[in-house]
Amino acid sequence: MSRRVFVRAVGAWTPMRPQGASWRESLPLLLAGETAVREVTHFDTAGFPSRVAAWIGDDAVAAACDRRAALTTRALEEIEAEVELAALAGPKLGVFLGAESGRASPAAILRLAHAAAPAGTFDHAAFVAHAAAAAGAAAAVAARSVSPAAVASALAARLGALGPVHTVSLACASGASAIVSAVRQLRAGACDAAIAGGVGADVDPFMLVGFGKLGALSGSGLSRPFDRARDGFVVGEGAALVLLTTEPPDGDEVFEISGVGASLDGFHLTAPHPQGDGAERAMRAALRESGRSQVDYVQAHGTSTALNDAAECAALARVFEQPVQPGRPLVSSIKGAVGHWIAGAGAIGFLCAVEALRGNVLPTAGLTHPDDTCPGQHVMGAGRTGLALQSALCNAFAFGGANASLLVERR
Amino acid sequence: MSTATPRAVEVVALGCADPRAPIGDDVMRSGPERMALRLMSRSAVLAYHAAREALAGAAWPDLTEAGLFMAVGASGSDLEQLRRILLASQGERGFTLARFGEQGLRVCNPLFAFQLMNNFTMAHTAILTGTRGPNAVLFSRGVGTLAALDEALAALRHGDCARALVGAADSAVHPVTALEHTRWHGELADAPAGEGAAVLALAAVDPRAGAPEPGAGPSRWHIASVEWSEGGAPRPGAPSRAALGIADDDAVVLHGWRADVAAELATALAGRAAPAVSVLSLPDCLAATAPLAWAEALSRAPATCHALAVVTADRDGGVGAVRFVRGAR
Repeated sequence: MSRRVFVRAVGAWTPMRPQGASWRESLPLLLAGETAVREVTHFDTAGFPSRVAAWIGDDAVAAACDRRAALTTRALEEIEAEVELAALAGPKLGVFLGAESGRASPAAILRLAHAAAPAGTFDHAAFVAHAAAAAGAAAAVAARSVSPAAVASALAARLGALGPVHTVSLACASGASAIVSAVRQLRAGACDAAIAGGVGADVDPFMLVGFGKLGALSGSGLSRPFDRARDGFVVGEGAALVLLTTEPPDGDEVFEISGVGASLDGFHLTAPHPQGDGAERAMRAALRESGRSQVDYVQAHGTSTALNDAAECAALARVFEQPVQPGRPLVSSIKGAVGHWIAGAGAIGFLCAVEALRGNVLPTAGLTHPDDTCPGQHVMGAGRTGLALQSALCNAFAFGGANASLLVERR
Repeated sequence: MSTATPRAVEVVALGCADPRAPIGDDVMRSGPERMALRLMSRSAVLAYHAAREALAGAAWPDLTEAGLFMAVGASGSDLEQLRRILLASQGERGFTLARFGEQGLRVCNPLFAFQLMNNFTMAHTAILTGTRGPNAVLFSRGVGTLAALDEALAALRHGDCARALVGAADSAVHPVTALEHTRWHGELADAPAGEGAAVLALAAVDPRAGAPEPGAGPSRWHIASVEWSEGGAPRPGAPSRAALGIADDDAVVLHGWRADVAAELATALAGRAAPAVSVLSLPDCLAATAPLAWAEALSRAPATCHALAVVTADRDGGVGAVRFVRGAR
């Protein structure tokens, strides 16, 4: 019999205010259906495929050597305000973080590129011989902030966590998959408590160009998951963390992660399986672990791309084809409000699932006319409060075909 | 940290992209792999080679529920392409973001993005092999790869899957990676940089299940324990033999490039009943180093060897050991 895993506290740093907002500060704005998507003004986007994002103008974050670490620290501070984390320090505290590579500055990369090609074409030997000097000290600093593992390591050092430290790099499923990893290790006894979640800091020129070039970004500049007018996602940034423990917390709010599921589409690099086969298997795995066949609420991956939303809704329709209660499960996606956090997306989605069990179901901002290909009990306009929900599912699906589902229940 | 593995997990097969016998892309220039090749980073190519070999040995009939757990380094992109993008982004006043957005995009192959994302080292293998079960991609600079093995074991023990591929692929000779390591650590004469991949095909041994895996028996290696300590504050230095789970009668294989750790462990191991300590000389392949050492040690172990501890160290000071035993001891 494996050990049980409970949600002890949550924290986030979101773009719901221009200077950034904690999860607690974000909730009323999210419930009102507001969106953080706005024009990017902190760098020149002339000629870019998309010129909007849900970004954070926090000066301290902007000045940080590693934007990912700065966002994650803000999220952690919200948990630290609630729980004395120092008491958990030691070999039984783990850190599980979804993160992708950070970004060196274009100038630093350009210096490296010049060193790579003194004669016009890339020359490996010349690069190794000259790049160190050409790049200079600034590039070295940048390189340290590029490693995906740097954020989790810094978090572990801050917390005095001597247990497992995992950096999960599964693109858009990273945050949820990091929570899956934490649950696995908590169950296995490798740690008794864990900080888990994800961070996305991809509102930068390279990501806007990269995703734009792929045709994944909204040309209209609006994130409208499940809407008939959806035309791609909007990049967002932020961090979301949970404190998980094997001991149930005191008080009335006891939330347990009773099921996790992960799968691979094994289908295509960018397109989801058209019927959502992998998504369905991940959801069914989470349901099977929890012993449930239904949930009250689904925080969908819901990116606002044509293919993803249709595939996810097709999978949802099959998994929940026989609802025990009419009008369930309620479905919404946070990406309409905060954009797509990539490696942090599944983590902020999980916070929404937990919030639903607290009675607050957030709406899908931007959704006004659900597409016929996206059937479901969508929550539109304002959120719903005062609901008594017992179970919620959170989905996260990645480019490359990795899927993760987390099922959380009120106890 | 450590996790015991009470439910036996056996090594069914292994596959390698051996750093001592570099693999050219030409072996993939036919069949379905041909189309994928231009989208793949070097690490993705290496990972697929190793996984394909492991799967050929395992001969599993169905991969729908099989797990795939990989450790990866920074996926190395094609620097020539990056250089073209950046050069096109320069005008008379040098590099500008506006020119980057307008001119840089024109020379950018959109598929370039797939070389940059860390998870695509695994994603290509999943797509090309049809592996579709539980999964994880963990970032590693060396010993952290043992966390991927630990993840796979946890999934197998818990019943998330009955079979799983686990391993790593990495390239320390990618220009940016090589530069980074040269700057941080200096040249390591006893550890030439290399690239490679190794993948183990693992199966849970459940006495309640039906027929055992093909070829299962007392001669098959099982994973008895996984122990590691990552480098850097606030973590301690090289753990003791006891902390690494090495038993008195284990044959011990050290991956030997980290001379100071090897010497420290050799001293600790001096009083053991079984004196056999072998030192491997593999190139440093960062995330892939540990599984390459496992594969090498398991391949070389004589039939008389019943317990084997493979100890690896990385440039950050991390040390870890995987203990293998014959049969489900």
